[in-house]
This record gives sequence, C-alpha cells and structure tokens, in this order.
Amino acid sequence: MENDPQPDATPFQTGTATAPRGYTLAAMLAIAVVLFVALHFLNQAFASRHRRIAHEEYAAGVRALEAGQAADAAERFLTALRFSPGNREYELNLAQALATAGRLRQAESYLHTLLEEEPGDGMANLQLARLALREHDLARATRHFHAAMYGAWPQEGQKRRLETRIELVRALLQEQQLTAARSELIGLTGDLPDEPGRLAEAGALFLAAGDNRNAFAMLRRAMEKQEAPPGDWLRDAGLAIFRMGNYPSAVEYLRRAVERGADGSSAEALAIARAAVALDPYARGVRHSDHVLRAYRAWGIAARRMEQCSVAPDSEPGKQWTELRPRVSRAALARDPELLDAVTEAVFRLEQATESCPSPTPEDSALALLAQRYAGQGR
Amino acid sequence: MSETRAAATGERRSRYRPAFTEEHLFLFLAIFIGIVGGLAVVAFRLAIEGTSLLLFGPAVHPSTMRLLLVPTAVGLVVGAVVLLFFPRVRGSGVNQTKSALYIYDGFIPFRTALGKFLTASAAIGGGHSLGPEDPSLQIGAAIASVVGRKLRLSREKLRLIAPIGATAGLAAAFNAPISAVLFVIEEVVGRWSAGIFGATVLASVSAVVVARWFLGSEPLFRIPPVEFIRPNELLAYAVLGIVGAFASVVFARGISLLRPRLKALPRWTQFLQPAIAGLLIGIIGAAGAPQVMGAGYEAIDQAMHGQFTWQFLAVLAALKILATVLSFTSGTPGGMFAPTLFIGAMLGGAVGGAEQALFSHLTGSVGTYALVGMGVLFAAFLRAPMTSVFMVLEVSGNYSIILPVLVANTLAYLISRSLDPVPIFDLLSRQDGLELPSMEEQREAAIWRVEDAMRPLDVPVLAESESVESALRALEHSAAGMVLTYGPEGWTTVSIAALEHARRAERGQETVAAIAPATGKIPALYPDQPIGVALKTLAAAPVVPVIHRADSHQVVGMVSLQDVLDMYRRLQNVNGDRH
Repeated sequence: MENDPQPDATPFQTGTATAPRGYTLAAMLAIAVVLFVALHFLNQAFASRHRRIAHEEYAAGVRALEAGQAADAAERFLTALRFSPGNREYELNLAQALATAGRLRQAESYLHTLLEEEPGDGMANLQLARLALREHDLARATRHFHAAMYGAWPQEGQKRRLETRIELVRALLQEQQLTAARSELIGLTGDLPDEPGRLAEAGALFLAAGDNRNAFAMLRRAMEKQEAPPGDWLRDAGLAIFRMGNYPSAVEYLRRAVERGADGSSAEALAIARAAVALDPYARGVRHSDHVLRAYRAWGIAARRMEQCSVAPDSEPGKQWTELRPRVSRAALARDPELLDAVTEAVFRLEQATESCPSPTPEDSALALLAQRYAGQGR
Repeated sequence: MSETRAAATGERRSRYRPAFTEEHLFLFLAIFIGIVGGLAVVAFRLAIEGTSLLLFGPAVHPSTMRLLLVPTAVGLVVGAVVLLFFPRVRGSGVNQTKSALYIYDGFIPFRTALGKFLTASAAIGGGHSLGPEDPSLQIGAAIASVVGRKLRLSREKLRLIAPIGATAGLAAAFNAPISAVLFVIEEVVGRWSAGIFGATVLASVSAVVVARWFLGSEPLFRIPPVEFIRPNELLAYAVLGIVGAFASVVFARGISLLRPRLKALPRWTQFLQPAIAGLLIGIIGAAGAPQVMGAGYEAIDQAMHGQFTWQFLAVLAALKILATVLSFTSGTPGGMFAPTLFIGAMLGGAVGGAEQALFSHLTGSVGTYALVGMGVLFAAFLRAPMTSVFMVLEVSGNYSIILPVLVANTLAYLISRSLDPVPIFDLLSRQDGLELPSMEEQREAAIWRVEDAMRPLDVPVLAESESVESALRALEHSAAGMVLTYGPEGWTTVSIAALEHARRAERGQETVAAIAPATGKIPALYPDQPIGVALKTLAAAPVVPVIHRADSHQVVGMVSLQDVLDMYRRLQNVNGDRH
C-alpha cells in the first residue's frame, strides 16, 4: 500500500485513538448482531408467508383442474411455483394443466426442465409421452413411455409402472401397431397381479391386439376368480374363442354375455357364432347327411348374397357359381362328394369375395369366417 | 539501577504488545463490511419482494388495473421523495461510488444509502424496469464509507473502503463473489494490488455467505445443462455477439439521448417523469408483456427453459430496452445490471431460436444461447469484458460454455466499442458534469517504456578493472565526456576530467574502479520497464544504462531525463496524446 501522508494515521495501538475506536467498533458489532437477529425473524416471516401462499394457490389450482378449468389451474400453479420454486409436484401439475389447456409447448418445456434435474422421473416421462401422442409422434411417445416404466416413482411404483405399460398398449392399439402392442402385452403379463380385474383388462387388450389365445387364457383366469363375471368379460372370452374357431364354446360364452347385459356387439357375435355352428360343414361329429344339408343351406345363403352384392358373372366366384348352379340339388350333393366339396368351396369363395359388401347377415359373416379358417387349413 | 530496570521492563512490555496496525484493521473491516453489506442487501431484497407482493398481489399475471396504476403511483411517490429528500440517489449507483473514490475521498453519506434503499426497493418492487444490483453496490459502498469514517481511518484507506463495500453489496445481490470482485476492480478501482484484491475478496465472500444464509444458495434463475458446443456452431454464437453489440448500442444511445433531455426539462416535470415512465411501462405490461416489469429474473428463468417462442423473446428484448430507458432516464433510482442480463437472455434466445429455425443442424439449446446472450450484453453494454466471461461461468457452473462466451463476448465488446467509443458509465458521469477516470480508457491507454525513450549507446563501456590509460584511449574515438564501467557491484560513470586528472597524477595504470567517484553505483534499467521507473532512477544519475535482461553486461542503450522529455514531445507531435 502507498504511504499515507496524513500525520493522524496512527497504528491501532496508539493510546489516544484506541479507546474511541474500540468502542465504536464494539457498537458497530452490536448493531450488526441486532440487524442479523431482526433480519432472521423477518426472513422467517417472509418464508412462512410464501409457503402459505404457495400452498393455497396450489390447492386452488388442483380444484380448478378437477373442475376442468385448466387455464385457471395453470395460473394458480404458476403462482404457487413463484413462491415455492423448484417444487416438483407443483411443476408436474403445472405441466399437466398446461397440456390440458392446449399449451403443449410450455408443458413440454416444464417437463424437460424436470427431466434435466431428474432424468429418470417416471411421472415427467409419462406426461411427455402423453404430449407426444397428442402430437402424433408415436416413436417419441414410446421412448418416454419406456422411460416412465423403468423410471422412478415416489409411491406405488409397481402399480404406476403397470398402468403406464397399459397406457402404452392402448396407444399402440389406437395407432394400429398390433405387433408392438402384443410385444408389450407379453411383457405386461410378468408384472400382472393376480387380480380378476387386471387379468380381464389384460385379456381385453390381448383380444384387441389380435392375440386370441392369450386373451382367452387371461379372461378364463379372471373368470375363475370371479364368481359372477361381468358380461364384458364373457363377451371378450367368447370373441377370443370364436376367433380361435371354437364356435360351440363361443356360443356358450356369448350367450351368457348377452344374458348378463353385455353390449350389442355380443348379440351380433352370438348370432354369427350360432350360424357358424349351424353351418360348419367340417365340424367334428357332423354326419354326411348333415354336411349335405349344411352345404345346401349355405348355397342358398350365398346365392342371396350374390344377388345382393351383384357379383359379376365373369369374376372367378361368378364363373364358378355359373358352372355349378345347374348341377346343384340336395340329391346331387348327397350323391356326389366332389360336387359337395366344390359347392362348399364356391360358397366360401363367394362369401370371402363379398366380405366388404355391406349388410351381411350373421350367416354370411359366419360363412366368411369359416372360409377364412378352412382356407388356412387347405380345405 | 531502577531506571535500567524500568527501561528493560518497558521494552519487554512493548515487545509483547500486539501490533494491530491499520492494515490489520482494514482487513478485519473488509470482513465486517462484507457481513453488514450482506445483511443490508438481504433486507433490500426482502423489501423489494414485500413491496411487489403488497402492490401487485401474489398472482403471476396481475390485473390490468394494477399493472397500470402501481408503477404510475410508485413513480409519483418515488419522484417526489427523490427530489425532496434524497437527490443523490438518482442513477444506478456505480458512478456515485466512483465519485466517492476519486472526488470525495471515499465519502458517501449514510442518507444516500437509506434513500437508495427506500426508493429503489419501491421502484423495483413497484414494477419499474430496473435492477437491484447497482443500488446494492451503492448501499454497500455507503455502509463501508460510514464505517470507515466512524473508525477514523486514514484518507487513503477511506478512499479504498468504499469500493470494498461496493464489492460486498454487488456480491450479495448477484450471489456471484468472483464476478463482483472483478467488476469492482475492472470498473470502479481500475487497478490490481494485493491489498485491494485481498480486501475485496474477503468482503465478497463474507457478503455471499450472509446472503446465502438467509436466502439460500439457489441461483436467481436456474441454468439449464449446457450441452457440448460443437466447433462448427461457434459461428452461430458469433452472430449473437454481433447482434448483441448492435442492441447494446441502441440501448446506450437511447439512454444517452433521452436522459439529458429529460433532465433539462423544468424541475416540476421531474416530479412527474418517474410516474409517466411507470405508466408507459404499465401499458407495455398490460399489453401482453408483464415480463419486462421489475428486475425480470423469473422471465429470464422461463426464457432459459424454452417457455417462450423465439419471436416473443425478440419482442421482450426490444420492450425491455424501451422500458429500461424510460425508467432510468426518468430519474427513478435503480440499476441496469438486471435489465442488461434480461435483454441479453432474451436476445440470445431469440437469435438462437431464429438460427435453429433457419439451420436445423444447429443443436445448441435456447437456454445455452440465452446464457451466452447475457454475457454478450454485459460485455457490450457495461463494457466489462473480463467480468462478463467470469459471470457466465460463475452462474452456469459449466466450463463447456467457455468457447462461445469468449467468441461472442469479445466480438460484442469490440464492435460496440468501435460504434460507441464512450462506455455508458463514462457517458453518464460526463452528462452529470463529472470527469471521472474512464477505466476503459485507462486499460486502452498506451504504456510507455524505457525502450521508447532510450537512445543508442554513445559512450564507451569498460570493465572497471580496465586501466585509466585504456579508458582514455577509448575516449579518444568518442565524443562522449565519460565512460560507463561495470563491475561486480554494478555500474559507474567516470568523467573524462577525472580520468585526465588521474593520468596527470601518474595514476594512469591504476584501474578505473580505483579512481571512480565516491558517489556510488548507479542503477541500470531494462528496456521493458515503464517510463515511471526510469524517471525515479534518473533522479539518482544523469544518464542510466539500459541493459539486456539475459546478459547484465550487455548495454542496449542509454537514457537520460532529456531523452524522456524528447520522447513525450515526439509523441505529442505525432498524435496529440497526453500521458
């Protein structure tokens, strides 16, 4: 330091300057202590008030969100965050409110901020997945769903992970990604609790994904644990087994489903199943005379369908039909096994060709299903 | 015997008495001032928050009526209080602290601190577009000044204690101890020394400890993680630096043009100017940009986390410039640090967003651009390039950002300096009629060295072990009137008269050292030494050798007082500079 030219710049130990300086310093220290204590209490009062405001605003936001007032809820949550910055619960709710209010970009920003701090946060990833779905970005949504499934959940982790996977499956089904959905469902069975409701839910999802075998297995397990299973379970089980080609069992499930008041599709499915049972020419235990009867009845049904759908005579089914028609009679079918097979094949072909034609009868639908089933078997 | 004994006892007593000098007191005071400064800043921030809560309520988006009425009413009250009771609290506080250091021997009245505290907290809490950091700097300086005066420190120490208090105030307000130290040394004090640096660091650390004790260690705004910056993206940040430079020029020009015009208006209008500014700011807020009101830290946080579109960020940057110009030029007490950071963050986010919209391969996040943008405006507008770099590093805690910060800040600083040579603080002080030293001008001023004044060696150089006859022979071919001799203990000049006298006295075979004058050795200089060192040395000898640093026997030139004067005359003739 430079030399001080002033003569009164004495060292601290000088006698005449020591006493006043010491007292002054002591007084200043005392003032600082008083200020410290006063500020401490003031700060505590502020902090307490901030916490109260944050809590009140958050509660108001939750009520608004439940009442469907997402925009108002977002404002409340924003205010709560202002007085309780960094509160993850507030931020998550804010993101949800923003998303509900249609402010997707802002919601996404808040969620990404949360993920920056905790990349494995389950709820944040789930919210981002839902936002991605709204933007029709299935790939991104799937990534976030997976991150949520394997992420951290503060409470009920297993349950939340299960629900997340179910939500992913529903999203995949909605986007017609059946293979991916089935893959997720296989993974889901490992975490599935042995509760009837959950089993039935899984069964329904398997059914929607086209995995009839697993669907039926899940539903049957569910119904074994439930004394009076709901009509929907019975309907789904019936549909599953119906698609597996076991029409008699399907009739039984669907009949019970209709009795339990399942929705209208059960009745329709039941009619088709009954028709399939009545018309299946290759069902086990069907005698030759019944086969002839069924084939002849099917011929009549197909003929009506052909008329209804105006099948062109020069189409393959049309040509086959034109060739066979003069020869078909009950007696001829009973005498000629080859004719019987040809008629059955022609019926199946025609019903498959007219599948897209509107207003099929349950019999038409049944014949189309039988055609599909037996086509795979080379009949 | 008794006298001897008494003397001995006295000596023992004085030997063991602790020598607590003013130097020690000064360092202790630095800590004390840091603590008290920190307390004052905490109280200041609580006052701002309390005022905002009281006047605007807790809602993030207050009603239109409040947005319009509150800043207007606060402006009216603040305008009257400032003019009637605290006229010295106008402005940000940085120049007022410099004035204390360079003009008023470190004197800042406590009344100023009180007035700044009350009026700035009301103004900022009431929505005026100003920041709390500069007032905190002045409050800290004022507290330090009071402490120093009460303890009757020497004038030199009193002059230095105000910047130490300023450091404490700024550090506590900013929660950035390193940046505070650098800013005060770079912009207020203007020089480094161990004493100043040590005291400011102690004060800064103490203040930040106190501030964090009360307010927590959370930053004023959260910084998003900074991703790795690819080298090919540095060009994008360079563009930000260029844009930031122009924005800072617009900002500075706005203040420099409007401020003197408003000050020149009749005095009665100055009661209303803060109110009118408040009303205009309220209109901006009510029109859809309430983010520009107050310090704006929440908006900076939101901008960092991509809450706004880049278009809206650009709008906010422009509106904040307008709002801050209105607030500041109307005489409302408050600072420019926070608005500078706000404008920088918004501008950075806008430029980053626009660049990403045009060039999708750019991967830097909006938050990273916003962070760099803050440093850009800090460098370009406040003209604190070193502080701006450290500030960004300190608040982000991430060294990955160093390259874009260096590129953008440097570009911004150089461009703004070329467009507007006078920094904003110097501009404001000159508008107030004060000729404070410009730290930037001091930094940029040329430093003259010995090599600029020295002339070629024109005297013989001999070892002092050489004989008198040898010396005289060497002088036969020289017009010089002396020889320079060197020996183990240094250099000596021996005049030709002394040599001839020795020859006449038949001492021609003796060594030059034997007949050298008794006046002693003369010091030598090095070519790179400042000219001030040469002047001190030339007081002891009429001419001094300039020697090589690697070989002390190699003389590269010589310098005299006349040579130094000739150097200044030459420079004055060349560029008219005064040094």
